[in-house]
Amino acid sequence: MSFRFIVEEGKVAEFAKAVRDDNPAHRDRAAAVEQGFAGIPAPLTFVAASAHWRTGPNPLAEHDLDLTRTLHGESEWEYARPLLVGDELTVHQDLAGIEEKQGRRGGTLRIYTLENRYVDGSGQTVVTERWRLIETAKTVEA
Amino acid sequence: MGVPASVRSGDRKVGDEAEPLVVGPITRTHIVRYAGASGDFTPIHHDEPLAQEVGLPGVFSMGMMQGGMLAHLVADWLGLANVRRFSIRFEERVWPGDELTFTGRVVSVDQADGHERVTVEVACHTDAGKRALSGTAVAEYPA
Repeated sequence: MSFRFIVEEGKVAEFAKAVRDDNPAHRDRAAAVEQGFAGIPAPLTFVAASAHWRTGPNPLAEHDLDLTRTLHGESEWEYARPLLVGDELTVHQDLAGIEEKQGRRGGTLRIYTLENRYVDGSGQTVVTERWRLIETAKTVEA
Repeated sequence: MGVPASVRSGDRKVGDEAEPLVVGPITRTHIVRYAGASGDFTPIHHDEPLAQEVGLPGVFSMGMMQGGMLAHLVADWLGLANVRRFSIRFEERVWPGDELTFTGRVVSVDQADGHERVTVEVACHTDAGKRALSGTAVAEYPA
């Protein structure tokens, strides 16, 4: 499933402030150009803000995850180039895999890998994001 | 940090360390500001009564908040346009009152396909000595 995600100037400035990123390139076009960017670049984890645009069911919806036992274990991003203000992206969401492991304190834990591909107007995948969510075994104490 | 210096091939060597970045003490305002910026309104990160109801001392930050701060260290140190990969593991929660220190160290420099590839290890520790995040980043520079 997929949805649109537009890289907006105000949201980039707001996000940069929230992660204490004081590089003036994130809020000033002249500073961005001086640093060699074709436009205002977004911070590296700005794709998180695509949550504002997400519609439709979560790829995990049909898997009956127990959210009270689910932890956000790891995230990774691969970049072809920085996102720039004005980019109109299509986000393709996939459940890339489910892995089962024996928990250290007994029981089985499940690791779900979600993959989001951010594709620009020319068809290039600009950012690939993977999230690993861990559904801990039922016996684990909170 | 302000305007980051541009980084070129040869500038980063194995064992080099980033200038540590210190943020904090973290407040609920940091957390709510990140909620608005990112769209992550998972209640446990802003709803104090709810957090206490499930047995927590209170709200804690989204891992992606300190993850974004760590990404800032990486971008300024290695060059935003040069970063090809960034990965983080969420290890310990961050609570209001914690002071965070972000660090990085170069672990390898390789030549491949006409590029210099620099790999770094990064981390975020709290002033209580807990490691909230560990991670790696890879940047490439024309050789």
